[in-house]
Amino acid sequence: MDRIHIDLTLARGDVHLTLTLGIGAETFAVVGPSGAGKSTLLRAVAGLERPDSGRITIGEQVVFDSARGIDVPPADRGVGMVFQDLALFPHMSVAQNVAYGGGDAGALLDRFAIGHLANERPGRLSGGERQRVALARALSRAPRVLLLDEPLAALDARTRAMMRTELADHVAAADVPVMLVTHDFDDAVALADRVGVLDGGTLRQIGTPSELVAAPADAFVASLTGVNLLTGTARAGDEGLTMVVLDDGQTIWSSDIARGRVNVAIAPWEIAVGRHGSDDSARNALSAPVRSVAHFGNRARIAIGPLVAEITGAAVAGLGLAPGDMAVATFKATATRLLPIDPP
Amino acid sequence: MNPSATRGRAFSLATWLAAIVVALFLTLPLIAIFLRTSPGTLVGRLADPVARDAIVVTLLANVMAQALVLVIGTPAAYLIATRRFRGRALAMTLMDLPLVLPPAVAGIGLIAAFGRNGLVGGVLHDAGIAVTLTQAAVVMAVAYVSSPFYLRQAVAAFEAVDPALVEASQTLGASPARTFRRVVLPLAARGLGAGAVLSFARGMGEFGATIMFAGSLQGVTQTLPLAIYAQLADDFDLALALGALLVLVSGAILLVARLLVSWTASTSISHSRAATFISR
Repeated sequence: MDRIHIDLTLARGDVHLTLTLGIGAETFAVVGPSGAGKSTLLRAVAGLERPDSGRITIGEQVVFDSARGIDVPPADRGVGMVFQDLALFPHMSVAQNVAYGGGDAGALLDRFAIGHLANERPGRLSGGERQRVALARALSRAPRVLLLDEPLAALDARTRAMMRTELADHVAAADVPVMLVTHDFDDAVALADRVGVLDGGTLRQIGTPSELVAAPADAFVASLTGVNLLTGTARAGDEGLTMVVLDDGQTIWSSDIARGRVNVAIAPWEIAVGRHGSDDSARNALSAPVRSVAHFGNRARIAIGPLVAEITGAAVAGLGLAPGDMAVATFKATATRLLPIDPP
Repeated sequence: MNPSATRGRAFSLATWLAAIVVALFLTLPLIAIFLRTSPGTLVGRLADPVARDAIVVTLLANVMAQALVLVIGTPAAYLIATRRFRGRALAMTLMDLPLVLPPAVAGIGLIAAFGRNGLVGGVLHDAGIAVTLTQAAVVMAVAYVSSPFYLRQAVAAFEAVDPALVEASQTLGASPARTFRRVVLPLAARGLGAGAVLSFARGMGEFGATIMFAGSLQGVTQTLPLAIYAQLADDFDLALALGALLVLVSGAILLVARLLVSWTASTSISHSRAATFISR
């Protein structure tokens, strides 16, 4: 049974939400661009935003039901919330912040390794430390659901990568359903069991991160997951494959079946890079100049013409590619997903 | 010496001269109060029954007026700061009006409203309640002219409290009253304090509305500023002594206000409106 069930319509300014969503004992991430209404959705669950109509249940409790006139105030919903800017009380110490909602502050301070900061004011802490305090405080009342609003957005890039791993551990250990919203698909991959893609006020697709990458429902989902998108016209090719003539004139072969205008989605890690075409079974080869090379960790993303390929850092060093050099990106016909474009 | 250097020096000299004139003009009257008679005489004259009565009336009226302003003004300011409702802009403007209103207008207005034949005063009179020429009238006059100073600051102080902190408190199970007490009030406290000090300062010096609405009865409605005016012809030394007392009180108030603002500025909470208001 769902731990949280949301069925609502809500219009605020440019945001018009209409969606139905069930969340079980899992970590669920709502991903979407800014202005999609992600935070509004989270705030509606917390009781900080009142839907125009619908019904929200948390556990057994109906916390909102427009038909029956139920609107439980935030204090009585049993939610723990981490706000986007954390919203720590600046005039209270770390210990006072964590103890504010009641519960065993000492145990939480130990669990989040912030006991030594107990008497510090939040203003004196680093971004990562503040994040831990906010999490500890949100869990202090043993909530029935943990809500995280852009939990990593306030951090600088370096702390962010570190906290992403740490947050994943805490979220897994929290033993409550977690609903988080983020604009960054990578955050969702690191933290969530399932992801819902929110755009235009509705959930475009719900699935595990790998499902969304492997089979994006549409071009929007594909672009959000960081997958390459090319546009062209599909028609039947030989050997049962589909031939897509891209808008720039190049040709791509796909094992998917589609006709007419399509987006072609190719995951960056499905693309191999060489200085010359390789002789393996890959059906597709695109030749273009290298636009950029960005290293992160032991991997690198290398932009070749319209494509971004993800290969090991060692491979980039071995190839000795630099921006401006010609390179060949190759990928199999089975690595391509064809997403038909609805005629306008 | 070349001509442009001479002109530069002349300009510099002119600005210095102007600054000295300003400084002398503003401080000379204050200095004169203390130099005209010996400090011993000034302190001694405060034992005069007129002075003692005026001090008691002033303190009583101001403490009561400021208590009313705090108790009623604080929730009102919180509402205006945190809710968006129809007529909010109008409410803010009306709140500021007494700041620029001539005190004589405030006085005649209070009489028209609460005087024996006034809009509300007539009803009160029939019920056996007389307001004019009583201590209640002093309290009302003081509250009328001084409350906008507090309300302005209080609205600014409440507006500066991050709404996310209030929401965080709510999700942590706190009632609205507890949220107000534990989160909103401590974060707005310095701004509220600065506003209360300004309001008190204005109230202590209130003259025009009080003399019209409450009169100048020794021991009943005669506050310090009214006593100064009443003693001007009869006992100039006593008037001077009362003046000296008010100079010291005003100086102390200004100091407290400055301290409150500098503390406020050093915390993370922004009270820029409060700061500019006092430091200008």
